[in-house]
Amino acid sequence: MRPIIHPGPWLLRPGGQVLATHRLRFGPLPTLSADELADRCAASGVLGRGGAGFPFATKLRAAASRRAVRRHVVVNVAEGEPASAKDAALVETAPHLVLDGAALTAAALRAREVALVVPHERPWLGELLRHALAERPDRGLRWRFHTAAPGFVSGESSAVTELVAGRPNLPVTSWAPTAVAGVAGRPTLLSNAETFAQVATLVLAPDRVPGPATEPGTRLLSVTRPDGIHVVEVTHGSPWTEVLTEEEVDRPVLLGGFHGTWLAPGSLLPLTVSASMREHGAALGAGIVIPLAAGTCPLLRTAEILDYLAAQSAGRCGPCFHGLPALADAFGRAVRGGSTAEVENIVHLVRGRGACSHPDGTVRLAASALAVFADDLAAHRSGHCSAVSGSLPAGLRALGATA
Amino acid sequence: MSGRELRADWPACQARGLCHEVAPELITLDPWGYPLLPTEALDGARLDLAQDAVHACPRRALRLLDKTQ
Repeated sequence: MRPIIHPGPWLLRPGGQVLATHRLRFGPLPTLSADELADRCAASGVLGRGGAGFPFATKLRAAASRRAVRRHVVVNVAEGEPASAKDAALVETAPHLVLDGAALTAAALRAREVALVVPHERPWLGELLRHALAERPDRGLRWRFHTAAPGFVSGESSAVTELVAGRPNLPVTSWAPTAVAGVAGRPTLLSNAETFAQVATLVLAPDRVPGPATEPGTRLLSVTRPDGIHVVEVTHGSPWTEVLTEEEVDRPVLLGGFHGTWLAPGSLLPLTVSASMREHGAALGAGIVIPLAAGTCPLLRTAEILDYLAAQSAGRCGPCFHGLPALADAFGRAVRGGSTAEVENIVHLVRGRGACSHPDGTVRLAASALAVFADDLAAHRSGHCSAVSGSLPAGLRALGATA
Repeated sequence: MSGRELRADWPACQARGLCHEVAPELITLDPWGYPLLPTEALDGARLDLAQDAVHACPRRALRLLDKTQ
């Protein structure tokens, strides 16, 4: 299903698909050295938009610093999270910003090829990018497409570098950062599509970047609603009431997608959309916002997500492919009125043991649900559910009877 | 602080359990047979045990890295 894209103040301004319009808006693409590009990115503090929020300048300097015959630039549009659609929205609305960012980075690193990793689930994105590329005169630069495998972990950094290197699209153990040794052990600058777009705007129109001076720029957010995923763009510092309705803010919100954390009702009211949210225990991650649907039990919803995440394990790392199903089962029992001790035990066993962050993210979700919905758990142990009115949903019919 | 850290290449580990057999004081196994590794920096006798475990693994799934913090 295609996302519902709201016109935005910067990246999501309509009309950017056509190269001529894009160039009128932003001017020609300059060529910068790695140092120059890194300096500009460091000055504005641009952070990655793929979830980890890593400073782009640091990544760029690391990729540029090692002597290498060849360096790689990889644009990650794979967006494996079901509740995320911001990269798809960006490719539909402003493909040339993404491609400008990638071209700038490739020139800075003297890389002659850019890898574009597109998702299996949204095949039209590859076509949109090819169409945009046909308009561009980027000389001395080759663009190569790779289609990610279906599933949640395909967009993970090491899985992506494996795919670009011609191997199965699955996570592997990283002994060094991707910037140092990525595709085929070579320095690789791998970033999210939105990151490249943000970098492009910094270079092309530094004086026009909206947002506060302390945190210039905007964020693309994916908001899950009953009618689909809405993609919105707001400047840093915007209150959350500009993103969510009053009703949504008053419900529990899962921030950061399926590897994120639950926020209690009203938690977002005093906060603004900013990287500094991390200090309040609510990290933006890749901008995935899932307000709990009205009349839904948050514990049942979490149990569903845990079941999904367990099934999405790559099946390569023992603690993950054994631990996540065990975690989902134990959580299901706790939801139906049982003890949480087994869940806590498995959380400690699984955390930090796997090649990628899939097990860590999954236990983070489980742990946050236990913490934020402690009252709901207590209610379930007494045989009722406070989140739903009327008859209990099927998953809770056996409430009070522990498995 | 110096010392070395024991790290696993999880996709390579097949729960053969030899690391636990040669160094039970250092490495225990989780309910599914996979090693629970010490997280602290190792030196002295514990480092020797860790070296034994690294060499014992038929899948070469263990490495000793310099602990940089």
